[in-house]
Amino acid sequence: MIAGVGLGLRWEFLDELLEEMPALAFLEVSPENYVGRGGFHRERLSDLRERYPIITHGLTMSIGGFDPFGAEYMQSLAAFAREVGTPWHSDHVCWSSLDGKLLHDLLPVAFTKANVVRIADRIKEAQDTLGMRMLVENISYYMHPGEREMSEPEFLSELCERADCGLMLDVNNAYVNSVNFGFNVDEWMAKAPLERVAQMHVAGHAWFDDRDREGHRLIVDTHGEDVTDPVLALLGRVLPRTGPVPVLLERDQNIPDLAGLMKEVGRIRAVYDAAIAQTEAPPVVQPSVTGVAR
Amino acid sequence: MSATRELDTARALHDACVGLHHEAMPRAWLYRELVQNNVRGVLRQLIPRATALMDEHAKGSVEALVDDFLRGPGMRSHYMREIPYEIFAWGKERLAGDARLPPYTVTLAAWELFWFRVRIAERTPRPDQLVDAAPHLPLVLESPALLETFACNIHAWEDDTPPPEPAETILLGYRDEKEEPKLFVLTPLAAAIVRELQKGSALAHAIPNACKTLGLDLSQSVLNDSARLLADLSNAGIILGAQQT
Repeated sequence: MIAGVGLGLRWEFLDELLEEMPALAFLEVSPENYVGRGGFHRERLSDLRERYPIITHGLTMSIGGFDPFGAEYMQSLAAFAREVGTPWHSDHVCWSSLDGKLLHDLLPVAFTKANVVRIADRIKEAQDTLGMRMLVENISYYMHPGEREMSEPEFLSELCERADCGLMLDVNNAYVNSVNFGFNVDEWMAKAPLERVAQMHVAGHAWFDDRDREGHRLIVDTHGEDVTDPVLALLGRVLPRTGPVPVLLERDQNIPDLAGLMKEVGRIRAVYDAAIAQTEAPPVVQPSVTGVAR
Repeated sequence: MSATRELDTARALHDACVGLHHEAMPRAWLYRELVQNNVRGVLRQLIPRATALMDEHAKGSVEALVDDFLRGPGMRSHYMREIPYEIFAWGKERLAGDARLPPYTVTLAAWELFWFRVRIAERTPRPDQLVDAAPHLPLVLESPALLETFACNIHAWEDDTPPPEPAETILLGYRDEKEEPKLFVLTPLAAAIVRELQKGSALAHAIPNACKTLGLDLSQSVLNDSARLLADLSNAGIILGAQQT
């Protein structure tokens, strides 16, 4: 069982990570960055597997999309997931390709009953193909496409229930959406299927001018800043209800050196430890650097 | 909402993302910028010197290339690192025809993409049993061993040196055991022999076939050059041995 705070593996700090091997509960990697790839970075991933548990997090499955899953993509993904020994594979509740063209971004799906059925079927298909459990992640969205028949947490609850999959709860995404759309994020969490949360993400975000509403601003999920205090506080309120699931720091832009990242990990770990102490379940011992649990 | 309407809405958002039309969808501008910036970023990352030339000599041409690509064929690969190859395959004629750009811009982009491929190409599994090289056996070459022909010696060009003059240059890119990318500059004969070997020709056939392709006689000079090539490839670890047929 993996518990504690982990880090999204990025090549910017790969050398430092190999050299220093800091205490991290796990590393998260995006298969799209490794599948079909050899060379230095691929070899270093093999080195890191010896020291850290690896969890995979995908970017382009297009779970909510209309195109059929690409057979080659899914087979390669399954092989990679088996190779690194991930306990599950996660991707986003979104679509990212249409008519065979990819956008390499996370486009929102409508929260409708029809989509619950359609997307749950796709998740089940993906789980069958991968031969493992999937977690689906709530995304940051900046518009809702079409009519909304239910709230996002209701949609996620029905989706996870119907697909019998787990939830990758992105705390920052929930917070970002709550600010951009003006809802209470604690009420959102109260309705979300927290019993299905198997992993969480936290990240930083940035403010932008909203060109559609002059004078208004909106938050964009950039993964380019430190995690904000409100997001950490929200994490602290949610963790006692999910129990000691692995929590990931995502950082994709303005990436500091490893010392800076570990400082950020330390902030999250302090919240994590304090929150888990409030849970009824006993805290899980952090895996050691060399003797990881798999 | 019906599945058809759902699909129509997705298509409208997709089209807004790639700039096909500017239908008044709320915050479509944000999605469009996220997509565009992502693609521009990976293009600049993989071909930094070629895009710098484009910025310097034809301001806005990188952005226009990406935007037109997205409006046209669009991205097909799940792997972001493949997108610059897709853009280049689609747009190289356009770049070559852009009088504002130095004539070696396309070659520079091709070189940068080639070099990236050398760095990251997967190794194919080695055969279980290798035997010593013999003329009647096909040689087994290490992978990657990538051959590409360039219009000038672009690999040797630095930003502070005179622009490269046109001169066909054939490069063989490979990685050593420490995953460091390396290069050989090959003669046309050497390249033809390597291509034959990569096709699985036995050594005894590879050299004559290469000569036939190039219209050369199988002279002592050719044999001497071939021997030097094979020695160089062996010393570099590219020739792993031979495969028993």
